[in-house]
Amino acid sequence: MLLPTDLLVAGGFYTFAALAIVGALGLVLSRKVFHNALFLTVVLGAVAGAYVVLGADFLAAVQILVYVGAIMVLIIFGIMLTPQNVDLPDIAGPGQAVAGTVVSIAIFIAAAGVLATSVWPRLTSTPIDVPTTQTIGLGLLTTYGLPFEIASVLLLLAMIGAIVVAREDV
Amino acid sequence: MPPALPPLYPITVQHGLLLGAALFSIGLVGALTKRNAIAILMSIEVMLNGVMVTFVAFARHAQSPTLTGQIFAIFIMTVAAADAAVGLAIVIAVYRLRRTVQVDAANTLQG
Repeated sequence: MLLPTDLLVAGGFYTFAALAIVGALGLVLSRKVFHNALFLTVVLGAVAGAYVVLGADFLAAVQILVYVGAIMVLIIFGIMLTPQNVDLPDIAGPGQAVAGTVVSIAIFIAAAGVLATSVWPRLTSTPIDVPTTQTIGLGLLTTYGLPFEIASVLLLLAMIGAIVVAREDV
Repeated sequence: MPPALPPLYPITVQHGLLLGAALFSIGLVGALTKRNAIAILMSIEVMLNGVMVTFVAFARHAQSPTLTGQIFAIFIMTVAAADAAVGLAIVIAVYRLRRTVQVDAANTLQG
């Protein structure tokens, strides 16, 4: 007999949530940009785990493939291609740092207050049917067909734009 | 058939939303206080992840049969991939021009 499912779900969610928040704090607080990249990997992996707990199995796999696999490689390439000869501190001046932190904490308190005191109607706790791949695929090719096509055009344009902007001899 | 018992340790929609709000706010701190352009891009990725957690939490608990929240998250991921590609290309172009990736150095348009 394994652990009861509820305990497993709750424990998994809290573990991944704590990991994601610790990783995000490390990203914000660490000074070296390569350490930032490693902390970002922790955040992305933990968010993928939280997706599994929240019944989004396909999205968790896509998160690992796209974020950890592709975007992280891109970011680390960016770090390697721009030598970090640090002549300025990585964090902005004290005025900007304090103002940014205060604004962010205010936004968090406002958001947390609203969502903790709101009553959410028509919410269920029955689990989602996994795998979700078929439902998502049907949605992308029927109801969301036009956004899907626009997204592919956006990706093509982003690829061409990145090549044009980063090319050596313009 | 008796009604299902309520879960022992329920993960409600508020848990997911709180995680999303926390990730968004922490990413916002980074985006507002960092000077390195690549670090700012990474903070923005954390903010986007917070938004995606929010959508997935709603998809889990609101349960539209078409999983609209998860499909929205996929579109956010598409846009995040596009912005990472273009953003890093811009960072590399700025580096060629200024020999640094500190955002304070790119102030030609500042009055």
